[in-house]
Amino acid sequence: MALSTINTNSIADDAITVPKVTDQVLTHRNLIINGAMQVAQRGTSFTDADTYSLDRWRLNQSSETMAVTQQSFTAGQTDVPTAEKYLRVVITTTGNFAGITQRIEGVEQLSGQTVTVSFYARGGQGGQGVPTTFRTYLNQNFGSGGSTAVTGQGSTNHTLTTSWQLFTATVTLGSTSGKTIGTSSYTELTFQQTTGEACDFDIALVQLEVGDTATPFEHRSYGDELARCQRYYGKYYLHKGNEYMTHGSNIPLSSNFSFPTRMRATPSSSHVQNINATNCNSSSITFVDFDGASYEVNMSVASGTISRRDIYAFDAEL
Amino acid sequence: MENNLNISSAQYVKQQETQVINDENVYVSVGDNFAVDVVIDGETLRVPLDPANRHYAEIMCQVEAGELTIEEAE
Repeated sequence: MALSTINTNSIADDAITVPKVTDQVLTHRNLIINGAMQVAQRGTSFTDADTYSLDRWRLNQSSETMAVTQQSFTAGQTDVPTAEKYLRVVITTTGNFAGITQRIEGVEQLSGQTVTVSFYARGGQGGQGVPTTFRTYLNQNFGSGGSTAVTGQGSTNHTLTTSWQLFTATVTLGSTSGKTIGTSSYTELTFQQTTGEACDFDIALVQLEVGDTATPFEHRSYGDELARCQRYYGKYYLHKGNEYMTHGSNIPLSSNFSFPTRMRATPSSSHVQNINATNCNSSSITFVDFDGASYEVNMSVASGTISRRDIYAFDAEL
Repeated sequence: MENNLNISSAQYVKQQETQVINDENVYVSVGDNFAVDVVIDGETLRVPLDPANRHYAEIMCQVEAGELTIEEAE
């Protein structure tokens, strides 16, 4: 609209309402990271021995045997509009409860807030049957040294079928007033079957937003979503060489590496894979903080060209 | 922190430097502990001494409960 055509300095009441604009112009509505199940730095298939699966999604079970996989929609499908990936949970032995959760950093931002979770789900496509009971709820965990967690808030049952359906649940979370907030507090969204039966369910396009209305899923690019995930977990190629060295054998050679985004806390590190090694017989992480790490390789010859490349994982999950 | 990690071993780690001993380069631990090397569910992790790190928080919970002992650095 040209500025010259604006001839009023006020807008009538209710001319612009939240439902008219929320899903059009308000970004950063979705508090869930990787709600479209597209980022999979750890891999695409997991068992109950794993703690985390697709990025940010944590396995939640008691004694069941369960498998979690990333699945792809058929191109052009319209059951879950715009979705490309979904997460499948298959529970093959009976127990108590099983499902997945996502821990959202902090408790203050949602203190006393009404929030709405929305997601697509179905069951019975993984060979184990539709869950008899399936529910969502939220927990507030006040962290190490903090108040006792407040769990099971807004527990809502959802009736799954073998077809995709959109489900919503609105919850008013407790206030943090009077609570002691310790280290690494979080708000946790849980999807769970509760009858301990063998069953399976699929979940796609998960969104948690402030307010009592579910708005359309907020799509973010893969790059944006990956950057958000990397605050909590990252897997990187680290490289030293090719350089001619004459320092002598058993000499450590270090190089510094910066994470692409500041991590939530100082991460744990683990060696994932050695890609290549020339005149270097080992590597290690000798320093790490939330901004980066030192990668050290050990020269195994008195002199010569050295080269080494490894994949390391850095974990600062909640 | 209710992570209930299955930790099978834990040992402090110090910074290392190379010293010449009997005409050979040898790694020697120096300085203060900066991490704990642990094996969790068969995977080796180097865990920083940061209370905000979930692995370290769980390690200290198990130490306080008498369920885990952290070996001194070599």
